[in-house]
Amino acid sequence: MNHKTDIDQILEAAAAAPCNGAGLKSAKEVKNEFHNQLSQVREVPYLQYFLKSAAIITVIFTILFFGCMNRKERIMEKENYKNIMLACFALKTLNGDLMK
Amino acid sequence: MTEEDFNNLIDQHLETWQRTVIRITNNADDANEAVQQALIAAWEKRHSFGFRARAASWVCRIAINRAYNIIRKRRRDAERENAYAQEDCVHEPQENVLDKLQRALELLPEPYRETVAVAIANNLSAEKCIRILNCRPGTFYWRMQQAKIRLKKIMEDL
Repeated sequence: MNHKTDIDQILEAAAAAPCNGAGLKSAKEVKNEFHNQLSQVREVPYLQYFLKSAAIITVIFTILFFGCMNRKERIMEKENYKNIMLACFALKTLNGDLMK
Repeated sequence: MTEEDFNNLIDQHLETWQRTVIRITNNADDANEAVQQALIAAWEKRHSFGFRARAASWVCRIAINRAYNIIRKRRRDAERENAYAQEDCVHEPQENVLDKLQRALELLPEPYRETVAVAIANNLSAEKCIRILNCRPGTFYWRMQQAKIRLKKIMEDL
């Protein structure tokens, strides 16, 4: 018993039919074209990629470095301010004690 | 892979690639272009591809993707010019069933279209199709079934 539908038969006919594309290149033409194109394909510029990556990394590290330095300075300023305040407080206390 | 390997690959599989791609593009020039682009792309990535045995499937897969790119570009150009390619609209009054199938294929969504195209080019061999499409067997059979249902409907409407 044949269970195949019409569409199955059409697909089988399409598979069995010769390639309907007039104008398709032969293997020889494809190979010639391929080898012509290969000669035009540039080699990958690894050195260029390396230099670009190095430049980007340098910029990132420079930004990070100056950012850290700036933060350190701000922390030191804060520390100095704290020390001055402590000294003032000590002087004030001492002065109070002396006045007694 | 060397140039010699590529030559052998072209000799052995070019017809299958062309048969697959022409079902998608429906145009010999575009099919030639897609296959040519696929070969160059495969050559450029040859070092990253280790399995020589599957190289033909791989090139076929690339050619299918390139074919889609080409037809999408054509469609965009046609839309930009506000005129769909007239040659696509003109059909022979007495077209045979295979021409009708080709027209119906053009109206199928991409996954079904490529599945049918690959199946036809590979004499409906499920094993080869699954390898080229790089999908699970269940996915392939399901797509084929859906494609057949849709094709039947489209062909009735044409």
